[in-house]
Amino acid sequence: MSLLEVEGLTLDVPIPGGMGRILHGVDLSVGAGAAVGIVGESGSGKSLTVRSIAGLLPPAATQKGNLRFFGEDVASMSSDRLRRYRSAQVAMVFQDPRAAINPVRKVGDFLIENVVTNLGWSRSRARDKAVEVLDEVGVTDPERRLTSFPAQLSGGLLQRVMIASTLLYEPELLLADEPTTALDVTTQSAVMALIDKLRRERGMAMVFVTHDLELAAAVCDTIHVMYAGRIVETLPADELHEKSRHPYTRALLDARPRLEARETRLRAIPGQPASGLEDIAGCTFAPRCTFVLDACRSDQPSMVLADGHEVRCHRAGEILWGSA
Amino acid sequence: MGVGVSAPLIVTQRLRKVYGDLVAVDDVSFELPHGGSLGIVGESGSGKTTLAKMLVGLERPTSGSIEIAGENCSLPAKSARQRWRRARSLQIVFQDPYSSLDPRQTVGDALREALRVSGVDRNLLDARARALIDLVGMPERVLTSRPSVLSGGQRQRTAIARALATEPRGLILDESVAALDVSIQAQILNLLADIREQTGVAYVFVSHDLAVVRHVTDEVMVMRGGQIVERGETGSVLDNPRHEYTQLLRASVPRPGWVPGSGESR
Repeated sequence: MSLLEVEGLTLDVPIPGGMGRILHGVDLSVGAGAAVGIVGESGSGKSLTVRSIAGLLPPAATQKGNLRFFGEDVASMSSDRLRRYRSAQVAMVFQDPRAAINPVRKVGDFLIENVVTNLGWSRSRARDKAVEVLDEVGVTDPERRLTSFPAQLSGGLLQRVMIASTLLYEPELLLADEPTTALDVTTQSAVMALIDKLRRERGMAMVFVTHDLELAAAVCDTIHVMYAGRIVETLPADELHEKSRHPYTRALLDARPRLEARETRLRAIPGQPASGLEDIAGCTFAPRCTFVLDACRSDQPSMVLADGHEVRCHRAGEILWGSA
Repeated sequence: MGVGVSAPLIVTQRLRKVYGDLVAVDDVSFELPHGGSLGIVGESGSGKTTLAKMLVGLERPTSGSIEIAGENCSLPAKSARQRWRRARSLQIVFQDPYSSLDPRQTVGDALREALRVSGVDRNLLDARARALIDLVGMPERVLTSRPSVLSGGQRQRTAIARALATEPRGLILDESVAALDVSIQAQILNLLADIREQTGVAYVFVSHDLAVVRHVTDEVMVMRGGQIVERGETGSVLDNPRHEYTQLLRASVPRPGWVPGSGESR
């Protein structure tokens, strides 16, 4: 049994004049200890997908579909059960740690009150555990850091504190939404190395949301590429460069400038990323796709198997790609 | 002004900026030729943005000198006339296209205002605004739009068009493509290459992204803690980084086969 099963997840959000569908049936599964990447541009629905998993959606949004955690239907959890699910079993790390922590409370209060409230620990036990997890994420002098305010910490250090806060509970699943995007490249590298190490040591599974294909490929086992509220390709991370078949995945890989050599011209994707809200009859990528046919403009493609993995493209079996 | 074409567009000498106890920029000297493209690479606190702001007169150097198109620009402009002249030498495009445009001003108004203050005849404002919007690859109807209806990429195109309105000899691009989606980033990088080819404008490209810097610059300076730690031709600095810090920066870029933490010193 998978740790997490997401089946046919749809999400409707308020828009001027009614409700609009922004996620159009997302399916994914996360095995125990596995690292699953969700990659896409603005509006693809990658963040909303993990927020749906965490149950962190605004009340006005309507979520449908099945969400099962160790086989248990999340939608039918009691409020006590749901609180335990959200606090102790699933942990979330956000892009901007400064927006996720109260700026006028000390780091120690943030860490300690969390477990005192949710797990009923004594303050001294919580404090010892806080020191232990800060040490584990590489924060030097953790005793002193407990008395620091968030503003006194650099972005990288604060993100380590946020990661430490998730470790207080030994969660089974870490949801990481662009956790290193706001950090410097050298800090990103160090923080990702930390997440990777903690994950492996504890057998913790991860859903990792990022716009950075290369980063996802480096730290995940499986990658889902999202576009306009749908998963358009799912493949093993180590096959991203050699075997990806969706024109959007290939276009994303091609659009990035290369570190190793200068190209005369980048292969930019025309137009701009669509969101799930846009009313496009056929394939949502069709207006930007080089390989578009009439059928692409009228029929939404379903997932098909190509080269051993799932691709949402009418021409998946037909277009031949040179290896990148 | 009698500036020879062979004289560099920007010359800084021993430029230094101190805030209290913090030395933000420490002894930075460089030259940028007309039509050249210089990358300034560094992380938070490296001093790269402070340096960019001093170049366009948004920060006043503590010591050292800045000469732009033959004019001493080390001190703030003394008159409106001097400020306009400097605005025709150098313009800046910021990272965040959401905060760098006036939400109440249409794209056309923003461009016409920039054109007017740079001395363009009133009768020509509309035509020049249309030419600018065309140069940055947007349809003319965008001229009547306010920023709120534009995408991030369109806003950044607008900011570039506005910067080009004064026909500057140099553009300072401070992380100008960092906030854009990958597919849009490629469009803007191609646009910047086209504009440089068409107008001969020089770029100072401030960025943390080594692949982007490789794509748009000829020379690069790597900054850390306010100092230049390495400089040279972009390709050779990135292919054979000599300074330990440049090596760490390069090792930190995710790529096929990359392991996070590689090159990490701690």
